[in-house]
Amino acid sequence: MFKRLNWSLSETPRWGVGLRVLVVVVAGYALASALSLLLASLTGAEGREVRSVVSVGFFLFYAASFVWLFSLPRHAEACFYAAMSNGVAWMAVWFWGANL
Amino acid sequence: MKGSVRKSMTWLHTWSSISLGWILFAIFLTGTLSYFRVEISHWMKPEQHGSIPTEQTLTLATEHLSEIAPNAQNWTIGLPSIRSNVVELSWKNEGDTQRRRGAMEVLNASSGESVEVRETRGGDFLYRFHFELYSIPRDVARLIVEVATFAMFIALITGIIMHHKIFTDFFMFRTKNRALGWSDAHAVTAVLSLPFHLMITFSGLLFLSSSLLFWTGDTGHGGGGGGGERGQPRQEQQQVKQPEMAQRGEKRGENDGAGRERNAMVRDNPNGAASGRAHDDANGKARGENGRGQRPERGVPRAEGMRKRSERAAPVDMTMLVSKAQAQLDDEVGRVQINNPQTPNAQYLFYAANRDTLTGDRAGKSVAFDGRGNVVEAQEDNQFGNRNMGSSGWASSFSALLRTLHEARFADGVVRWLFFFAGVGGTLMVATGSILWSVKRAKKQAGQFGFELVKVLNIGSIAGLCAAVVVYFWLNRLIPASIEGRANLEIQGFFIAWAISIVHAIFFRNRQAWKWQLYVVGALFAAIPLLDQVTSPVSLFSYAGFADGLRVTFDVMCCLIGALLLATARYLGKHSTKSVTRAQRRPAKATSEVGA
Repeated sequence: MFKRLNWSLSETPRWGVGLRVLVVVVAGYALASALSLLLASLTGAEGREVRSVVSVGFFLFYAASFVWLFSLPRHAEACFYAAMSNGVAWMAVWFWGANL
Repeated sequence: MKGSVRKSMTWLHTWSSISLGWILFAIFLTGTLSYFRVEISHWMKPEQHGSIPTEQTLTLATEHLSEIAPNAQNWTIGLPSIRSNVVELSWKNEGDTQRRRGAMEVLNASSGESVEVRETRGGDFLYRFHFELYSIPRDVARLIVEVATFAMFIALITGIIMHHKIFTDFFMFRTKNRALGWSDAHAVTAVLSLPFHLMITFSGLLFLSSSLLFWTGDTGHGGGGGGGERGQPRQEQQQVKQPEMAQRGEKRGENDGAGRERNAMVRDNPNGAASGRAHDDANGKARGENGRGQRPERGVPRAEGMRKRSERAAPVDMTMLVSKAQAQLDDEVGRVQINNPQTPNAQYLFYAANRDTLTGDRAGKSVAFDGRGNVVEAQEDNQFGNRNMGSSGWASSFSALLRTLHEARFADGVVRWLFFFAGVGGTLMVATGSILWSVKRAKKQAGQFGFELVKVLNIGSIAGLCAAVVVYFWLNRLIPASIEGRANLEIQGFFIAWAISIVHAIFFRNRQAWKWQLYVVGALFAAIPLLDQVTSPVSLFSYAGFADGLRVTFDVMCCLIGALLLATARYLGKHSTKSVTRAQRRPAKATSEVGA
């Protein structure tokens, strides 16, 4: 769990790779959702524009979180950073996203 | 650390691509062909081939409409353009609720006679397949396509990161080593049109964003194609949204294209019976697949629900109005809408044939006249609803820009071909990537179930889909035009050809399967002009055939695809012969060494 991940399926336990994929897909989705909502809030978008900002932002943030969380060498790091970033992002949405 | 990042990106690139590569190939191929969907549809309706636009076309169209729909509330005339050689007529009677544009008919632009076109889905089938697949629930299909598109987006980004010598690799093509050769081909096709790939993938994500997005918002925006909320029947969505949308429609300047179209649908269709295919309707292509389905039978009274008109206006000089409109629009006229036709308060709306903006609305520029040729303000009761875009934010403009680019709605002939070639590049990129995966693992994993499955799926999805498409075109001309349900027969033929290809690939998983399938498909594609010449009522060598740019475009496109496939088959044939010769030499050499 705390060892560096070797990106070869034949040499890495499959559960390790599966866990990383799960973390990235689920936590990345949540993180991208929070960040795109935050972006819409901070840019002052209203009405239909909110939907457009969220759409554009979501896919960019989701792709970025995929790359970021996959590039971390340790599973523990990936889980830790995913949880932390989600916590911070959703807290920020809670504070600044009230007008959405 | 750098090595680790590159390794992880390589892993992500490989597995995000290969796991959905076959669907991506289908999406890319059918999407690329959809750039010529109008041309494909035209080719697949040979009854239209004899139509040549003249200066009298608009007059003929209005005369025809005055005969068949004298009491209609409005008439819409789609004039021949660079991408259409027929006249598309539609009219709406007061109280009509079945469709936005009501009944429709296709006219021969030179004779003014009604054209009975064969029943076919034409290019629309490939276009719909591109983002809705086939016979899968719409929402599920869109979700699958959206996930595949996102996988493609990830693959593109990781591909850029992992190739630290991306531009050096671009100029290399090492054919002696198989794996390196496929790798180079993959890199070349990817880098050659990388901006296009990024644009097409990201805009594709935005098109179907409602499928994957966590929050659809309460804005009625719905994504391209009228996405709407998931898990809710289409018609129900329409009914639920109607009051809200109708209210929004009154606020000028706050609606985008999709919103405007739906507002029009709500106005035209108070019972909620609209089809919801706003995406198509905006482009004027969803007026029934063949014009037959919507056409009322002759002799049947059309007076039901029509307005009584007490007074008739004198005929208007349409040629004069068109000249005025062209001068005002500074463009050709693409479509004419006549509200309250043949009455003193008739209004003539002329829409420009070409777009002059990448972020504007779908209808483009328009100008309205009264019967005397005076410019008037357009009535709101037109098919595109609220005409003013008003101000919109950066994200909406960016989305609109990407959507316009994705569909190449602005493109003239040259740009359309460029988009087509970029799309072919993307299709080849996906195909070479999938093949590269199996080539790299051939030595280590040959015989294993997963490896053999990938090989079969590679052949079945790449060569098989090409076979399915060409069989679809051939069946269009070989199935008699009068057979009932022939559109479905064409589609069944498409899938049967695909299934045969997969079965063939299961039994012949080696290079021979590739070679023979590509030879057959390439030959069928290359023979399309011959088939066209034999089965169309208008010869390609006649004036009408020569002047028919749409048809010639399609034939040229098929020839190019055929040539590409035949060249690939020939290359594979040569390569496999060399491999066999080398394998034969090896034992002989070993025997001589033993003898010595």
